[in-house]
Amino acid sequence: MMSDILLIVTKLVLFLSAIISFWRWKELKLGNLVYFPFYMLFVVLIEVCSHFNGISSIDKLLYTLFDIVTYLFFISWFYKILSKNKLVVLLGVCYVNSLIFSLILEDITGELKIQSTVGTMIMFLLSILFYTSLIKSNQLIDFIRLPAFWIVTGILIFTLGYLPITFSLTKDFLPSRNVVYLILVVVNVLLYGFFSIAFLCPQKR
Amino acid sequence: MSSEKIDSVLLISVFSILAIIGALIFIFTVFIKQRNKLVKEKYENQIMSERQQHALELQALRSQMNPHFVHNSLNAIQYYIQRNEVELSEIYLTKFSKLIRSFFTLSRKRHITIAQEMSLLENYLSIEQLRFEDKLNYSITKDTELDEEDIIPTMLLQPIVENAVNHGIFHKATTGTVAIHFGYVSEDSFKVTIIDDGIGLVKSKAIFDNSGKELNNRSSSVLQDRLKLLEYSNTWKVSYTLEDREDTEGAIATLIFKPIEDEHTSIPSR
Repeated sequence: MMSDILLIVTKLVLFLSAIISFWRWKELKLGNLVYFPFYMLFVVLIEVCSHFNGISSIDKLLYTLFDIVTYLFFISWFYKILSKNKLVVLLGVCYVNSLIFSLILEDITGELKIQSTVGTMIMFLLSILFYTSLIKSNQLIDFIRLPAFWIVTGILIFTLGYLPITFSLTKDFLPSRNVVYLILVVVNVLLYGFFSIAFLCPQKR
Repeated sequence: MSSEKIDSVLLISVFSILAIIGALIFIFTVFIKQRNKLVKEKYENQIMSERQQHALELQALRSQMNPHFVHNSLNAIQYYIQRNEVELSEIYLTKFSKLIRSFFTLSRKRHITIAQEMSLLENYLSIEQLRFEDKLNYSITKDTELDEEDIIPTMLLQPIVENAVNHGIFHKATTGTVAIHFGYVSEDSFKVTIIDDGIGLVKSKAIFDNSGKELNNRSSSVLQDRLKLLEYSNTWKVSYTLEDREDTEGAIATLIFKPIEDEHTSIPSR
Protein backbone atom coordinates (compact mmCIF):
# COMPACT_ATOMS: atom_id res chain seq x y z
CA MET A 1 0.00 0.00 0.00
CA MET A 2 2.75 2.40 1.06
CA SER A 3 4.86 1.51 -1.96
CA ASP A 4 1.87 2.13 -4.26
CA ILE A 5 1.41 5.63 -2.84
CA LEU A 6 5.11 6.33 -3.25
CA LEU A 7 5.02 5.18 -6.88
CA ILE A 8 1.98 7.36 -7.61
CA VAL A 9 3.81 10.37 -6.14
CA THR A 10 6.82 9.66 -8.37
CA LYS A 11 4.69 9.34 -11.49
CA LEU A 12 2.77 12.52 -10.66
CA VAL A 13 6.01 14.48 -10.42
CA LEU A 14 7.15 12.94 -13.71
CA PHE A 15 3.89 13.84 -15.52
CA LEU A 16 3.98 17.34 -14.08
CA SER A 17 7.54 17.80 -15.31
CA ALA A 18 6.56 16.52 -18.78
CA ILE A 19 3.60 18.93 -18.91
CA ILE A 20 5.86 21.84 -17.91
CA SER A 21 8.37 20.89 -20.62
CA PHE A 22 5.64 21.05 -23.30
CA TRP A 23 4.13 24.20 -21.82
CA ARG A 24 7.56 25.85 -22.00
CA TRP A 25 8.36 24.38 -25.41
CA LYS A 26 8.70 27.77 -27.15
CA GLU A 27 11.17 28.94 -24.49
CA LEU A 28 13.08 25.65 -24.45
CA LYS A 29 13.67 25.96 -28.20
CA LEU A 30 15.88 28.97 -27.46
CA GLY A 31 18.30 27.05 -25.23
CA ASN A 32 19.99 23.69 -24.77
CA LEU A 33 16.89 21.85 -23.59
CA VAL A 34 15.29 21.74 -27.02
CA TYR A 35 14.89 17.93 -27.12
CA PHE A 36 13.84 17.51 -23.49
CA PRO A 37 10.07 17.57 -24.12
CA PHE A 38 10.52 14.60 -26.51
CA TYR A 39 12.60 12.80 -23.92
CA MET A 40 9.99 13.49 -21.25
CA LEU A 41 7.31 12.17 -23.62
CA PHE A 42 9.39 9.03 -24.08
CA VAL A 43 9.71 8.58 -20.30
CA VAL A 44 5.97 9.05 -19.83
CA LEU A 45 5.24 6.50 -22.58
CA ILE A 46 7.56 3.96 -20.94
CA GLU A 47 5.83 4.51 -17.59
CA VAL A 48 2.36 4.20 -19.14
CA CYS A 49 3.31 1.04 -21.10
CA SER A 50 4.89 -0.46 -18.00
CA HIS A 51 1.81 0.33 -15.93
CA PHE A 52 -0.60 -1.39 -18.31
CA ASN A 53 1.69 -4.30 -19.12
CA GLY A 54 1.52 -7.23 -16.74
CA ILE A 55 4.34 -9.32 -18.20
CA SER A 56 7.55 -9.04 -16.20
CA SER A 57 9.97 -9.78 -19.06
CA ILE A 58 8.42 -7.07 -21.29
CA ASP A 59 8.55 -4.72 -18.33
CA LYS A 60 12.28 -5.38 -17.96
CA LEU A 61 12.77 -4.92 -21.68
CA LEU A 62 10.98 -1.58 -21.53
CA TYR A 63 13.18 -0.40 -18.70
CA THR A 64 16.31 -1.63 -20.48
CA LEU A 65 15.22 0.39 -23.51
CA PHE A 66 14.57 3.32 -21.17
CA ASP A 67 18.10 3.01 -19.71
CA ILE A 68 19.79 2.86 -23.13
CA VAL A 69 17.85 5.84 -24.54
CA THR A 70 18.39 7.82 -21.33
CA TYR A 71 22.15 7.28 -21.20
CA LEU A 72 22.63 8.00 -24.91
CA PHE A 73 20.39 11.05 -24.72
CA PHE A 74 22.25 12.53 -21.74
CA ILE A 75 25.70 11.71 -23.15
CA SER A 76 24.79 13.59 -26.34
CA TRP A 77 23.33 16.44 -24.27
CA PHE A 78 26.50 16.69 -22.17
CA TYR A 79 28.54 16.66 -25.40
CA LYS A 80 26.55 19.68 -26.55
CA ILE A 81 26.70 21.70 -23.32
CA LEU A 82 30.35 20.90 -22.58
CA SER A 83 31.42 22.43 -25.91
CA LYS A 84 32.08 19.11 -27.65
CA ASN A 85 34.54 17.94 -25.01
CA LYS A 86 36.61 14.94 -26.16
CA LEU A 87 36.28 13.32 -22.73
CA VAL A 88 32.53 13.12 -23.30
CA VAL A 89 33.18 11.31 -26.59
CA LEU A 90 35.48 8.88 -24.76
CA LEU A 91 32.88 8.22 -22.07
CA GLY A 92 30.25 7.80 -24.79
CA VAL A 93 32.43 5.16 -26.47
CA CYS A 94 32.86 3.43 -23.08
CA TYR A 95 29.11 3.31 -22.66
CA VAL A 96 28.51 1.90 -26.16
CA ASN A 97 31.14 -0.79 -25.48
CA SER A 98 29.51 -1.68 -22.17
CA LEU A 99 26.18 -1.91 -23.98
CA ILE A 100 27.67 -4.28 -26.55
CA PHE A 101 29.18 -6.39 -23.75
CA SER A 102 25.83 -6.44 -21.96
CA LEU A 103 23.98 -7.52 -25.11
CA ILE A 104 26.51 -10.30 -25.71
CA LEU A 105 27.01 -11.48 -22.14
CA GLU A 106 23.63 -10.86 -20.54
CA ASP A 107 20.05 -11.88 -21.19
CA ILE A 108 18.21 -9.05 -22.97
CA THR A 109 14.92 -10.01 -21.34
CA GLY A 110 16.59 -9.74 -17.94
CA GLU A 111 18.50 -6.74 -16.59
CA LEU A 112 21.53 -5.46 -18.52
CA LYS A 113 23.52 -4.79 -15.37
CA ILE A 114 26.87 -3.94 -17.02
CA GLN A 115 25.50 -1.14 -19.18
CA SER A 116 23.37 0.11 -16.31
CA THR A 117 26.32 0.33 -13.88
CA VAL A 118 28.68 1.85 -16.46
CA GLY A 119 25.96 4.27 -17.61
CA THR A 120 25.26 5.44 -14.05
CA MET A 121 28.97 5.94 -13.38
CA ILE A 122 29.35 7.86 -16.64
CA MET A 123 26.46 10.13 -15.64
CA PHE A 124 28.24 10.74 -12.33
CA LEU A 125 31.52 11.60 -14.07
CA LEU A 126 29.81 13.86 -16.62
CA SER A 127 28.04 15.71 -13.82
CA ILE A 128 31.38 16.33 -12.09
CA LEU A 129 32.86 17.44 -15.44
CA PHE A 130 30.00 19.90 -15.88
CA TYR A 131 30.43 21.31 -12.37
CA THR A 132 34.18 21.71 -12.91
CA SER A 133 33.60 23.62 -16.12
CA LEU A 134 30.79 25.73 -14.57
CA ILE A 135 32.84 26.70 -11.54
CA LYS A 136 35.51 28.14 -13.86
CA SER A 137 33.09 30.09 -16.03
CA ASN A 138 31.32 33.42 -15.64
CA GLN A 139 27.96 31.65 -15.79
CA LEU A 140 28.55 30.79 -12.15
CA ILE A 141 27.38 34.29 -11.16
CA ASP A 142 23.79 33.37 -11.99
CA PHE A 143 23.92 29.58 -11.64
CA ILE A 144 20.55 29.47 -9.87
CA ARG A 145 18.90 30.59 -13.13
CA LEU A 146 20.97 28.24 -15.28
CA PRO A 147 18.78 25.37 -16.64
CA ALA A 148 21.77 23.06 -17.17
CA PHE A 149 22.72 23.40 -13.49
CA TRP A 150 19.34 22.05 -12.34
CA ILE A 151 19.32 19.26 -14.93
CA VAL A 152 22.82 18.13 -13.91
CA THR A 153 22.04 18.43 -10.19
CA GLY A 154 18.97 16.24 -10.78
CA ILE A 155 21.11 13.70 -12.65
CA LEU A 156 23.80 13.71 -9.95
CA ILE A 157 21.30 13.23 -7.13
CA PHE A 158 19.63 10.42 -9.09
CA THR A 159 23.00 8.81 -9.74
CA LEU A 160 24.08 9.03 -6.09
CA GLY A 161 20.85 7.43 -4.94
CA TYR A 162 20.78 4.88 -7.73
CA LEU A 163 24.44 3.79 -7.63
CA PRO A 164 24.10 1.70 -4.43
CA ILE A 165 21.12 -0.06 -5.99
CA THR A 166 22.98 -0.78 -9.25
CA PHE A 167 25.96 -2.09 -7.26
CA SER A 168 23.70 -4.36 -5.25
CA LEU A 169 22.19 -5.55 -8.56
CA THR A 170 25.61 -6.55 -9.83
CA LYS A 171 26.18 -8.54 -6.64
CA ASP A 172 22.79 -10.26 -7.09
CA PHE A 173 21.66 -8.77 -3.87
CA LEU A 174 18.66 -6.50 -3.86
CA PRO A 175 17.67 -4.71 -0.68
CA SER A 176 14.08 -5.00 0.43
CA ARG A 177 11.38 -3.77 -1.96
CA ASN A 178 10.39 -0.96 0.38
CA VAL A 179 13.93 0.39 0.61
CA VAL A 180 14.29 0.34 -3.18
CA TYR A 181 10.95 2.08 -3.57
CA LEU A 182 11.81 4.68 -0.98
CA ILE A 183 15.16 5.47 -2.58
CA LEU A 184 13.66 5.45 -6.08
CA VAL A 185 10.86 7.78 -5.02
CA VAL A 186 13.24 10.23 -3.40
CA VAL A 187 15.67 10.30 -6.33
CA ASN A 188 12.92 10.41 -8.95
CA VAL A 189 11.04 13.20 -7.19
CA LEU A 190 14.27 15.17 -6.92
CA LEU A 191 15.26 14.37 -10.54
CA TYR A 192 11.98 15.44 -12.12
CA GLY A 193 11.56 18.25 -9.60
CA PHE A 194 14.91 19.68 -10.65
CA PHE A 195 14.01 19.09 -14.33
CA SER A 196 10.86 21.15 -13.78
CA ILE A 197 12.92 23.99 -12.24
CA ALA A 198 15.25 23.82 -15.26
CA PHE A 199 12.29 24.05 -17.67
CA LEU A 200 10.99 27.09 -15.80
CA CYS A 201 14.36 28.89 -15.85
CA PRO A 202 14.92 31.58 -18.50
CA GLN A 203 16.48 29.87 -21.51
CA LYS A 204 19.51 31.34 -23.20
CA ARG A 205 21.28 30.28 -26.31
CA MET B 1 15.16 -11.14 7.12
CA SER B 2 18.45 -12.17 8.65
CA SER B 3 20.29 -9.60 10.75
CA GLU B 4 23.07 -9.52 8.15
CA LYS B 5 20.55 -8.62 5.42
CA ILE B 6 18.90 -5.96 7.62
CA ASP B 7 22.33 -4.43 8.22
CA SER B 8 23.02 -4.28 4.47
CA VAL B 9 19.61 -2.78 3.74
CA LEU B 10 20.09 -0.18 6.43
CA LEU B 11 23.59 0.56 5.20
CA ILE B 12 22.44 1.10 1.59
CA SER B 13 19.52 3.32 2.67
CA VAL B 14 21.60 5.42 5.02
CA PHE B 15 24.41 5.71 2.47
CA SER B 16 22.06 6.77 -0.34
CA ILE B 17 20.21 9.35 1.73
CA LEU B 18 23.39 10.75 3.26
CA ALA B 19 25.04 10.90 -0.17
CA ILE B 20 22.08 12.82 -1.60
CA ILE B 21 21.84 15.29 1.28
CA GLY B 22 25.63 15.67 1.47
CA ALA B 23 25.91 16.24 -2.30
CA LEU B 24 23.17 18.87 -2.28
CA ILE B 25 24.71 20.75 0.64
CA PHE B 26 28.19 20.47 -0.87
CA ILE B 27 27.15 21.63 -4.36
CA PHE B 28 25.21 24.64 -3.13
CA THR B 29 27.81 25.65 -0.52
CA VAL B 30 30.69 25.45 -3.01
CA PHE B 31 28.78 27.18 -5.79
CA ILE B 32 27.47 30.01 -3.63
CA LYS B 33 30.93 30.56 -2.13
CA GLN B 34 32.57 30.57 -5.57
CA ARG B 35 29.86 32.80 -6.98
CA ASN B 36 30.36 35.34 -4.20
CA LYS B 37 34.10 35.26 -4.85
CA LEU B 38 33.55 35.81 -8.57
CA VAL B 39 31.07 38.63 -7.95
CA LYS B 40 33.56 40.29 -5.59
CA GLU B 41 36.36 39.95 -8.14
CA LYS B 42 34.19 41.40 -10.89
CA TYR B 43 33.08 44.23 -8.65
CA GLU B 44 36.67 45.06 -7.74
CA ASN B 45 37.71 44.93 -11.41
CA GLN B 46 34.86 47.24 -12.28
CA ILE B 47 35.82 49.66 -9.52
CA MET B 48 39.45 49.54 -10.67
CA SER B 49 38.56 50.23 -14.28
CA GLU B 50 36.23 53.04 -13.23
CA ARG B 51 39.03 54.56 -11.18
CA GLN B 52 41.42 54.22 -14.08
CA GLN B 53 38.87 55.94 -16.26
CA HIS B 54 38.45 58.70 -13.68
CA ALA B 55 42.22 59.09 -13.50
CA LEU B 56 42.36 59.49 -17.28
CA GLU B 57 39.49 61.94 -17.24
CA LEU B 58 41.21 63.90 -14.49
CA GLN B 59 44.40 63.96 -16.50
CA ALA B 60 42.47 65.21 -19.53
CA LEU B 61 40.85 67.92 -17.43
CA ARG B 62 44.14 68.93 -15.87
CA SER B 63 45.70 69.35 -19.26
CA GLN B 64 42.95 71.66 -20.44
CA MET B 65 44.18 75.21 -20.60
CA ASN B 66 41.54 77.86 -20.95
CA PRO B 67 41.59 78.99 -24.61
CA HIS B 68 40.61 82.49 -23.48
CA PHE B 69 43.71 82.68 -21.35
CA VAL B 70 45.94 81.60 -24.26
CA HIS B 71 44.17 84.02 -26.57
CA ASN B 72 44.44 86.91 -24.09
CA SER B 73 48.12 86.22 -23.41
CA LEU B 74 49.00 86.07 -27.11
CA ASN B 75 47.01 89.25 -27.70
CA ALA B 76 48.93 90.99 -24.92
CA ILE B 77 52.26 89.86 -26.38
CA GLN B 78 51.14 91.12 -29.79
CA TYR B 79 50.13 94.43 -28.15
CA TYR B 80 53.61 94.92 -26.64
CA ILE B 81 55.29 94.01 -29.93
CA GLN B 82 53.12 96.52 -31.78
CA ARG B 83 54.04 99.16 -29.20
CA ASN B 84 57.67 98.23 -29.78
CA GLU B 85 58.10 97.23 -26.15
CA VAL B 86 60.40 94.37 -27.09
CA GLU B 87 61.77 93.79 -23.61
CA LEU B 88 58.32 93.58 -22.07
CA SER B 89 57.06 91.29 -24.80
CA GLU B 90 60.11 89.04 -24.29
CA ILE B 91 59.44 88.87 -20.55
CA TYR B 92 55.82 88.09 -21.28
CA LEU B 93 56.74 85.43 -23.83
CA THR B 94 59.27 83.82 -21.49
CA LYS B 95 56.77 83.65 -18.63
CA PHE B 96 54.09 82.37 -20.96
CA SER B 97 56.26 79.60 -22.39
CA LYS B 98 57.38 78.66 -18.86
CA LEU B 99 53.75 78.46 -17.76
CA ILE B 100 52.76 76.32 -20.74
CA ARG B 101 55.68 73.99 -20.07
CA SER B 102 54.61 73.70 -16.43
CA PHE B 103 51.02 73.02 -17.49
CA PHE B 104 52.05 70.18 -19.75
CA THR B 105 54.54 68.69 -17.29
CA LEU B 106 52.39 68.92 -14.19
CA SER B 107 49.12 67.90 -15.84
CA ARG B 108 50.51 64.36 -16.17
CA LYS B 109 50.84 64.13 -12.40
CA ARG B 110 47.96 63.43 -10.09
CA HIS B 111 49.56 65.31 -7.21
CA ILE B 112 52.19 67.98 -6.92
CA THR B 113 53.79 69.63 -3.92
CA ILE B 114 52.40 72.81 -2.46
CA ALA B 115 55.65 74.52 -3.47
CA GLN B 116 55.08 73.52 -7.13
CA GLU B 117 51.46 74.70 -6.99
CA MET B 118 52.54 78.03 -5.50
CA SER B 119 55.15 78.45 -8.21
CA LEU B 120 52.60 77.66 -10.92
CA LEU B 121 50.12 80.18 -9.52
CA GLU B 122 52.89 82.76 -9.17
CA ASN B 123 53.79 82.27 -12.81
CA TYR B 124 50.18 82.45 -13.92
CA LEU B 125 49.41 85.60 -11.91
CA SER B 126 52.60 87.33 -13.05
CA ILE B 127 51.43 86.87 -16.66
CA GLU B 128 47.97 88.16 -15.81
CA GLN B 129 49.62 91.09 -14.02
CA LEU B 130 51.49 91.98 -17.19
CA ARG B 131 48.23 91.91 -19.12
CA PHE B 132 46.37 93.94 -16.49
CA GLU B 133 49.36 96.28 -16.11
CA ASP B 134 48.89 98.18 -12.84
CA LYS B 135 45.35 96.99 -12.30
CA LEU B 136 46.27 93.70 -10.60
CA ASN B 137 48.18 92.94 -7.41
CA TYR B 138 48.56 89.54 -5.92
CA SER B 139 50.04 87.70 -2.96
CA ILE B 140 50.68 84.02 -2.34
CA THR B 141 51.35 83.08 1.29
CA LYS B 142 51.59 79.98 3.42
CA ASP B 143 51.39 79.09 7.12
CA THR B 144 54.75 78.14 8.55
CA GLU B 145 53.27 74.91 10.06
CA LEU B 146 52.39 73.73 6.57
CA ASP B 147 55.10 71.75 4.84
CA GLU B 148 55.94 72.90 1.30
CA GLU B 149 56.43 69.27 0.34
CA ASP B 150 52.88 68.33 1.25
CA ILE B 151 50.90 67.23 -1.78
CA ILE B 152 47.87 68.76 -3.43
CA PRO B 153 45.79 67.70 -6.46
CA THR B 154 47.48 69.15 -9.52
CA MET B 155 46.30 72.54 -10.77
CA LEU B 156 42.99 72.57 -8.99
CA LEU B 157 43.44 76.14 -7.83
CA GLN B 158 44.33 77.72 -11.16
CA PRO B 159 40.73 77.82 -12.51
CA ILE B 160 39.55 79.47 -9.27
CA VAL B 161 42.29 82.09 -9.47
CA GLU B 162 41.41 82.57 -13.14
CA ASN B 163 37.77 83.26 -12.14
CA ALA B 164 38.86 85.73 -9.46
CA VAL B 165 40.92 87.63 -12.03
CA ASN B 166 38.54 87.53 -14.99
CA HIS B 167 35.22 87.92 -13.21
CA GLY B 168 36.24 89.80 -10.06
CA ILE B 169 39.16 92.11 -10.83
CA PHE B 170 38.56 92.56 -14.58
CA HIS B 171 35.34 94.55 -14.08
CA LYS B 172 36.72 96.63 -11.24
CA ALA B 173 37.56 100.25 -12.08
CA THR B 174 40.49 100.49 -9.65
CA THR B 175 43.41 98.20 -8.86
CA GLY B 176 42.37 94.79 -7.53
CA THR B 177 44.17 92.27 -5.38
CA VAL B 178 44.07 88.50 -5.36
CA ALA B 179 45.38 86.94 -2.14
CA ILE B 180 46.05 83.22 -2.03
CA HIS B 181 46.75 81.65 1.34
CA PHE B 182 47.69 78.05 2.15
CA GLY B 183 46.65 77.44 5.75
CA TYR B 184 47.36 74.60 8.19
CA VAL B 185 44.22 72.89 9.54
CA SER B 186 45.41 69.64 11.08
CA GLU B 187 48.02 66.90 10.66
CA ASP B 188 46.24 65.48 7.60
CA SER B 189 44.34 68.48 6.34
CA PHE B 190 44.98 71.96 4.99
CA LYS B 191 42.99 74.88 3.66
CA VAL B 192 43.47 77.21 0.69
CA THR B 193 41.67 80.53 0.53
CA ILE B 194 41.55 82.68 -2.59
CA ILE B 195 40.36 86.15 -1.75
CA ASP B 196 39.81 88.91 -4.26
CA ASP B 197 38.55 92.45 -3.77
CA GLY B 198 36.82 92.57 -7.14
CA ILE B 199 33.18 93.27 -7.86
CA GLY B 200 31.89 90.11 -6.14
CA LEU B 201 29.74 87.25 -7.35
CA VAL B 202 26.39 89.06 -7.44
CA LYS B 203 27.63 92.00 -9.50
CA SER B 204 29.61 89.75 -11.80
CA LYS B 205 26.52 87.70 -12.55
CA ALA B 206 24.49 90.88 -13.09
CA ILE B 207 27.04 92.12 -15.65
CA PHE B 208 26.72 88.88 -17.56
CA ASP B 209 22.94 89.01 -17.39
CA ASN B 210 22.87 92.59 -18.67
CA SER B 211 25.27 91.84 -21.50
CA GLY B 212 22.82 89.22 -22.75
CA LYS B 213 25.58 86.61 -22.73
CA GLU B 214 25.07 83.25 -21.18
CA LEU B 215 27.37 82.75 -18.20
CA ASN B 216 29.29 79.85 -19.68
CA ASN B 217 32.07 79.67 -17.15
CA ARG B 218 34.48 77.04 -18.43
CA SER B 219 36.84 77.30 -15.45
CA SER B 220 33.99 76.62 -13.03
CA SER B 221 32.71 73.63 -14.99
CA VAL B 222 36.22 72.14 -15.22
CA LEU B 223 36.60 72.67 -11.48
CA GLN B 224 33.27 71.05 -10.67
CA ASP B 225 34.11 68.07 -12.91
CA ARG B 226 37.48 67.66 -11.27
CA LEU B 227 36.09 67.85 -7.73
CA LYS B 228 33.48 65.24 -8.66
CA LEU B 229 36.08 62.94 -10.20
CA LEU B 230 38.41 63.34 -7.22
CA GLU B 231 35.57 62.23 -4.98
CA TYR B 232 34.73 59.25 -7.25
CA SER B 233 38.33 58.17 -7.49
CA ASN B 234 38.47 58.13 -3.70
CA THR B 235 41.76 59.97 -3.48
CA TRP B 236 40.86 63.35 -1.99
CA LYS B 237 38.04 64.77 0.01
CA VAL B 238 37.84 68.40 -1.03
CA SER B 239 35.22 70.73 0.33
CA TYR B 240 34.80 73.84 -1.80
CA THR B 241 32.84 77.02 -1.03
CA LEU B 242 32.62 80.25 -2.97
CA GLU B 243 30.85 83.28 -1.54
CA ASP B 244 30.84 87.05 -1.51
CA ARG B 245 32.97 88.74 1.13
CA GLU B 246 31.07 90.21 4.06
CA ASP B 247 33.64 92.86 5.12
CA THR B 248 34.10 94.45 1.71
CA GLU B 249 33.47 93.87 -2.00
CA GLY B 250 34.89 90.76 -3.60
CA ALA B 251 34.65 87.03 -3.29
CA ILE B 252 36.27 84.36 -1.19
CA ALA B 253 36.84 80.80 -2.31
CA THR B 254 37.76 78.23 0.33
CA LEU B 255 39.01 74.72 -0.32
CA ILE B 256 39.71 72.25 2.47
CA PHE B 257 41.84 69.29 1.39
CA LYS B 258 41.97 65.94 3.09
CA PRO B 259 43.62 62.93 1.43
CA ILE B 260 41.75 59.63 1.56
CA GLU B 261 43.88 56.57 2.05
CA ASP B 262 42.25 53.29 1.11
CA GLU B 263 43.36 49.91 -0.24
CA HIS B 264 42.71 50.95 -3.84
CA THR B 265 44.55 54.23 -3.85
CA SER B 266 48.19 54.95 -3.52
CA ILE B 267 48.57 58.53 -2.44
CA PRO B 268 52.06 59.26 -1.29
CA SER B 269 52.20 59.92 2.41
CA ARG B 270 52.43 63.52 3.39
